[in-house]
Amino acid sequence: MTFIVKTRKVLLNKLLNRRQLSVELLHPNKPTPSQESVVKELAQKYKADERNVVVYGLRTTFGGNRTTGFALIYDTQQYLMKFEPKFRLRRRGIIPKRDGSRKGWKEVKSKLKKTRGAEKTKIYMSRKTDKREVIRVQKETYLKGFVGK
Amino acid sequence: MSGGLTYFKEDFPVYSDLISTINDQLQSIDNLHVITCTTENKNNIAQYLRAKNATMAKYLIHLNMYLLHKLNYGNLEEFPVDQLIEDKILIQKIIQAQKKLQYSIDKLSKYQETQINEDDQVVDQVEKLTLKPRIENLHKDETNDKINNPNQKYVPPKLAATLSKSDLNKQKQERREELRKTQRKANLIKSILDEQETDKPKEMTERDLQQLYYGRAEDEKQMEKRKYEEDHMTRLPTTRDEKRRERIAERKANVTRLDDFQEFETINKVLNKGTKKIKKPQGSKLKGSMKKIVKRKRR
Repeated sequence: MTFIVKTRKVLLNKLLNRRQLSVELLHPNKPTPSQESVVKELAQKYKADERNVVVYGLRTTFGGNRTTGFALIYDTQQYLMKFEPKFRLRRRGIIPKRDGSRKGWKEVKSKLKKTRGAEKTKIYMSRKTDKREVIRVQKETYLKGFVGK
Repeated sequence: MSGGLTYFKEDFPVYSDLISTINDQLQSIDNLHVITCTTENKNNIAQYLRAKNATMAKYLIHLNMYLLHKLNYGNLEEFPVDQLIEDKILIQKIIQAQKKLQYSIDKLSKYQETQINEDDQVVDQVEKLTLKPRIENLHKDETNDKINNPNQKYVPPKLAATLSKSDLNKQKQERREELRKTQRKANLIKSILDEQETDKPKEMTERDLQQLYYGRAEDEKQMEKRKYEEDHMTRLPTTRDEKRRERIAERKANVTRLDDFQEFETINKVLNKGTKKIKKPQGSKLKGSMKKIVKRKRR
């Protein structure tokens, strides 16, 4: 282990079936550790499955040697799928990433500014996005292939 | 007739009292009538007073007739009593309205009493002079109270100590000053103890550590931001000001490293030897005395 993990402000959130905590990493004279390494350490410490641990917001302080971030440890994978936002699920690969480009969205936005009423809703709905049903199906397929420890 | 005499004896004092009151009222009417005649017809107060006088006089005349009728054993059923009642109700309504106009009526009566010309300037002065406070009314005559109610017990006045707002603020300020004094003393003693060389380890707070490692401590704004982020488990975006401050701090931190002594300056001189000097922009000519000062410095 090339860095030290310290946890603070551990909170048990029963409503969302998870544990919330703020993470502090000490890594003198070394670059910031990756998210995967931090997930491994936390799963070992809290005796949880690595796939149920979510780490985000890692930011190094001025001068280096120290990073702070946040972590969420869910009870099961189902709760993670239910309560986690989509952008984090996309990062993990549970939901595939979006096809649409940034430029495409900007074009749609410029069109929306010029229109009103029913035409506006048509243009808005015609944009390339993942619809709810598609995301639901993707989650189901992932859970089918998921084997718990 | 004997019955009539008894009635007369009983009613006569009442009648005499009534007649005296009627006389008094008529005198007041006369006084007000003088005022109404002298003032202009446009004045609403004069119109009001005229109406009041007329109704009062009418009512008194009718009352007098009624009394005479009663004494003479006249048939009271024939006498129009409804009219009396109507007049009385009217007068009561008029007197209720008089409360609102009392001030202007008093003003008119005083104006008549002084008997001065109707110049505007003089009138204003007179009004101001006439509206003086009467100190006699403020002072209560305690001797009269004793004479009127000799058996009354002495009730002392209710006095209770109360703190005003200014006193409260003073107390707060005094406490703050005391706290500051004690803090200054404590800081003095602490600094003296720190200077002394002891084996006791030094206490380092978070700010001291930050100062040591990074050359600067956290600002209050940064502390607030950090607390907010930790409480809400989110990351706030960095603003342009914060980025600028970080760059400046990084430059300063790099300069104050322990490695470079004077080599840094020499290296910079060597690097900047062949570079062109920056020209002044056009229009920035020195004027007057500033030219002399700059010339002296260049020499």
